[in-house]
Amino acid sequence: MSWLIAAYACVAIAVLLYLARLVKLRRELSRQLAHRPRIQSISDGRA
Amino acid sequence: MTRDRIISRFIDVALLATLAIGMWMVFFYAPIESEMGIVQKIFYVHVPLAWNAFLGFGVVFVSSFRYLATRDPRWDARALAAAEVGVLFTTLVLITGPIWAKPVWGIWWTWDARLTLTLVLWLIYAGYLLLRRYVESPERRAVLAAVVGISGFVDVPLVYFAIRWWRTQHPQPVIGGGSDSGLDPRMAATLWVCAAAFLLLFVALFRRRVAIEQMRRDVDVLRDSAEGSAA
Repeated sequence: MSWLIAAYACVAIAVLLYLARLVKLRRELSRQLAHRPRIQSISDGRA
Repeated sequence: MTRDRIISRFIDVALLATLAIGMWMVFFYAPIESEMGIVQKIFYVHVPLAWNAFLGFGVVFVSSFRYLATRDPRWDARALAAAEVGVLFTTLVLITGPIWAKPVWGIWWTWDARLTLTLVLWLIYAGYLLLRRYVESPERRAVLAAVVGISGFVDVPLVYFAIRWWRTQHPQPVIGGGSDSGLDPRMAATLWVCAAAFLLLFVALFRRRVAIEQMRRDVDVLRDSAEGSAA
């Protein structure tokens, strides 16, 4: 039984870790996109 | 709510429902195999993971061809997303396999054709992901990755047919393996439900990863335009 639980636990943990990585990436990119007006205003000011 | 979000929500709900039904079938419906005992139930994740990893590398193959033909970065994003999920699933195949092998064969690993070719498959697509990380130019990266993605796919049919072409420690096929193969109907039903669950998991992860790549492209375009204006 412990082998079975180990196998299923590995699958669950790995998928959750990958999902967490995707969420983190998405948050980081959303944050960067949210700064868009500021980046554009800086570049407009320089131009 | 956009159409994309509705589809994603539908896939997520279908995934959770199929996964719940699949796990119930694994533990309460499928019979315990007479020789291996309860550890044989690893089969219901091991095999669907392998099938869907093959699907992932198939998507890499098609998307890479489409990228080379059209130079549309969306195909490159699809290839990347499919490769990542494919590598994740192959990693899990290579973890669940030895966990199953140890109590049944008495060893974690043997260098038979199926196992070795699966490891080679993992190395090819892990290399594909590494390559993408270390090539700076986006166009050059996408072209090189597409070439590796296409050529690496050669290993997929080799892995699939390994147990049909050579004598291996790995068991012979139980589905599509000829007159000697076959599964108890309850085992087969459980396998198909689990395969559907992992297919939905593949689609859910793939769609999320593609969306992230689209966001990354938006950020890159924004950054380039900001730097261009600043210059």
